[in-house]
Amino acid sequence: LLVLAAATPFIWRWLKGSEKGGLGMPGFDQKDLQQTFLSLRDLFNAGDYEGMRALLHPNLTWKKLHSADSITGADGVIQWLKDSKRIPNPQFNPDLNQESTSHLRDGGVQISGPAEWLAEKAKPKDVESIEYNFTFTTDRDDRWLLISAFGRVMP
Amino acid sequence: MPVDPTNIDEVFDQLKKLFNDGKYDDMRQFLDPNITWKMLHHADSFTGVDKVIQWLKDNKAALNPQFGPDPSRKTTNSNPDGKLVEGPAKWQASKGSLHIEDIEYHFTFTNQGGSWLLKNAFGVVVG
Repeated sequence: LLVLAAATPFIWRWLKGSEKGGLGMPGFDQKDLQQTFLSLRDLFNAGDYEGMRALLHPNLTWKKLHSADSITGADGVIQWLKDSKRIPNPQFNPDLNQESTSHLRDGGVQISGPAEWLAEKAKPKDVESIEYNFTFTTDRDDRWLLISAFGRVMP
Repeated sequence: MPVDPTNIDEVFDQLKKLFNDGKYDDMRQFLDPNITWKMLHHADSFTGVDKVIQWLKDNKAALNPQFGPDPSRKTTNSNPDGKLVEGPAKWQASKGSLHIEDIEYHFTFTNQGGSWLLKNAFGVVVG
């Protein structure tokens, strides 16, 4: 009973987070753009690609960083991440101090800035400087969804 | 003078000219069949040359937007499977409009059989 009493606030917060974001992450609110962005970062870095699904627009366009190719559709992106990125487990670390936000005419919002990119988590010395530009849009419940992911390696 | 499709600068300049002239169908020969085109002021993208050209014809023919890259600040860098041409540009959403925006463009080209084709067009409004 003592353990249950001690855990109750945490369980409550977990449930609250589930209601807001659908991810079961404590305190996460998918109606908050910055929280959505950071959750995507954390899920990506953790290699939890399936967990990203709730934050991706079905018609997401994902530009590959080192290739001219793009992948279209959340299903295709997640499958590609699972097939190609599970083992290297790339790491995306945006510089939040230099993050900028701009608003589009259709209500979408772009978050962009510099970041460090590690193509393989096990090779921390192979870090690259990149610039990212993520476009988010909202669903009918005002939850933010990633609809465009673009990045480029800095020359 | 015909465009040399193996020269990426000539392809870039020709695409710019055709776009500014509103000759969207003529751009096809310089576009990859699987091109992805991000809309500048909207969250959406188009994928596939047919969809991109149709969207341009349906939505841009009357407006005839003008793309004016700064040639002195255009850079070209190699990717493993292509080249990224990028830089600042002026954007006029409607030809003749007094409203001119500063944008940054990032165009990724692939080389197919020696010819350069635009595979990804991405741009953002700056400032």
